[in-house]
Amino acid sequence: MRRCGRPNGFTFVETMIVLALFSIISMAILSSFTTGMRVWRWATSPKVAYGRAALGFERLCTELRRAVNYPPIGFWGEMDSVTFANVFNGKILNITYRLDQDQGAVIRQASALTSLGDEAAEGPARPVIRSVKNVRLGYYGVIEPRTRQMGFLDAWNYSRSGIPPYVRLTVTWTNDNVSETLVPILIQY
Amino acid sequence: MLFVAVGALTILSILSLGTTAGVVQQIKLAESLKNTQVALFAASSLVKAMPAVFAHDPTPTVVTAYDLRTREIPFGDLVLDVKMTDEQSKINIEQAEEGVVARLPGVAGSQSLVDEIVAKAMWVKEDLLLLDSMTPETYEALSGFVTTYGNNVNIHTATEEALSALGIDGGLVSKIQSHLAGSDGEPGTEDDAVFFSPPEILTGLDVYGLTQDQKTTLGNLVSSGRLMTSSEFVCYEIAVKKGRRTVRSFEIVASPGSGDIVSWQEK
Repeated sequence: MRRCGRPNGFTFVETMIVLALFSIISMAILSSFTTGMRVWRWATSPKVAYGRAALGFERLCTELRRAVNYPPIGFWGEMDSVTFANVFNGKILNITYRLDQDQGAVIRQASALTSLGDEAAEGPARPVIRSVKNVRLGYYGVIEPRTRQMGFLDAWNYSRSGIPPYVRLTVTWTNDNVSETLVPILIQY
Repeated sequence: MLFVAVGALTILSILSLGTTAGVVQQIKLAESLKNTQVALFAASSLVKAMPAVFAHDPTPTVVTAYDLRTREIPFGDLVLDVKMTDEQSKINIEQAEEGVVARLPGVAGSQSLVDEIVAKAMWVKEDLLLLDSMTPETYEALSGFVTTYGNNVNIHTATEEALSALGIDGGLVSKIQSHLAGSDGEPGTEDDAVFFSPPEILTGLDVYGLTQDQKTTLGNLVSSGRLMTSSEFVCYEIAVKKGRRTVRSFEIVASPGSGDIVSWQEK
């Protein structure tokens, strides 16, 4: 006996609609996948890594500008490291930035003084600027005492010269790009 | 089927939003770095320019509360909100004698703390926190009235606590403050009274009928150079703003006469 109502199976129009929907969904999924791949490539690209490094670089510049003339800590510099004092949030900080060749990063180590005249306990060392091949610091001062000629020195001695008015910071990144900046330390020593 | 389609479109939207957020973040980073440099230049320029501003004030030889009024200074598309505090409105903790330290808020009654403050070298105000006898509460009470800059107290801007710490009695402190506030009774306004030189402090206040003790105290403070009419260091609190947004804030201590900076803090 034949049943009344719709026959079994799909009509041509229904099939076409389903195919169209499948196409749209497939395109959406494919598009999602390619966009996702693009985002992943962007997030892991050197550009973003250098963006993050730029923030670390800026932090170093800001802390150098905030350097305080605090004799118990002073201001000591080498070609690949610098130590100075900051006062922040009611704490007197002994801050050191140094290049760690093995990690390919600039390490920041800060420790807060806890009592007068004592050495500050060493704080944790954290990489703050990554993707670094080399760092070179220069300190503006007298390079020729006889003629008082000024220029950039490879090392800085607080006991002899106080605080430098400028620090030149040259970073060679792992992609061989070079960033150079001049940080003014505006306090008069 | 519909659920799958909606799900796929949601994922697509999230990824697109992620990409947009990433690009916006990059733009913000670049803008922030640029603004930092501009704000830095603006703040240091302002501090260097302030001696010229003070020199053109009606009272160029002294520093008064009116000189240190809040100012709003346009700088290109930025605006600098400047609040000034006189470091010489406070007591220099490094140079203060035992008697002065003992009269400071929070310190009174704690001889061990007084002894420590007098004995130890203080390079920055925060050194106080490293003293054995110091508590956070005492530091909180004390920190607003002490400095490590300058050699004397400026009578025009001195706080009541600083004047009291110098040994000036309450009656005289009131006379000084009401005299300086001028006819409107409001300090930091155009009609404020001015002492143009330290000897004028004595003659200017004599009309209030000072007692012999008060005259002696004032005379000693003026002759020893501990009470002055000008200042060596002013603290500039500068908020660099772009529209309503604060780009960068600075707290700079500098000489109002030469613009030489002795402390630079930025947030």
